[in-house]
Amino acid sequence: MSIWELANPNRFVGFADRWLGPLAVLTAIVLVPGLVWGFLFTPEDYVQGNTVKIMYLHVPAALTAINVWFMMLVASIIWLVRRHRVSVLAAQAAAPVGFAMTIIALVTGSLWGQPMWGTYWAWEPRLTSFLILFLHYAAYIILWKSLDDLEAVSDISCYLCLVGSVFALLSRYAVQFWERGLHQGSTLSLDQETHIHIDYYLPLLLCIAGFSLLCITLVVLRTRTHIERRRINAMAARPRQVNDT
Amino acid sequence: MIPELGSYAANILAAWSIGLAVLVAIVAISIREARRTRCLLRKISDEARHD
Repeated sequence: MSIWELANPNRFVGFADRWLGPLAVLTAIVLVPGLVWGFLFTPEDYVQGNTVKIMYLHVPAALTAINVWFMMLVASIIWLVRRHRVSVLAAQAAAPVGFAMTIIALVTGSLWGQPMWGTYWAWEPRLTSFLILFLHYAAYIILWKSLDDLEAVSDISCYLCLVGSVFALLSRYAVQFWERGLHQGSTLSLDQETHIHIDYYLPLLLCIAGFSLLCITLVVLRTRTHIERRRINAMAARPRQVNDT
Repeated sequence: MIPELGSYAANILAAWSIGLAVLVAIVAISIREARRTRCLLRKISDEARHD
């Protein structure tokens, strides 16, 4: 099946009905053991002590928040270029998921930073760019709630998504662009030979996979909900059109 | 069962509590919205069929 077939709302709803159950089960199978492993069965770090356990929420949430914004960017570009309604509804559906992930990343990062850096917050590149990404998520959600003109809000939200992508990129690569700052370098990297110790690495991978699956499941579920809501609005509008004429 | 968390136990437990609470909240809100919308769509579709 081509991914473009999902641009048809009926096919997307059929796809969601068929795959949401298996996706939810797979998410639970990956995420729950990952979190339990990370919290209960990982050793104390010799520098950070047990605060290293915060990593199993903070790193997956931060990665997911950035990746969700890039997913919204791709969906927005598809809307601007090909005008597939499902793509912009998918972006709208994904925003609260990304927003929740930025809240988790900011709060857990702050609670991790206080014992390690001696402060809950510092205006340094990665933290600041992530805060701006959080504000973009909030603005994106408010924009959808505040405008009634569907075509206009779809277009404006896409442009907002394009602007916000700069800060998503900065959040992702800030630790490589700027050497100064409190935040440590990337915990995981494809071009590094050495990662964190395997005792921390495996549960972290499991948590990242679990968060990614949870995000996919929620975006599919919420997109289906938005499609069905449009149908309800369309059906509710029909009698009014008849009455008007 | 809960591991010894040392002197930063409050920070660790707060981070996990808030993180899990936000995760549960977004899942619960999404499922509730999906169920409500599907019920409403069925109801409206049935009414339209009867009319």
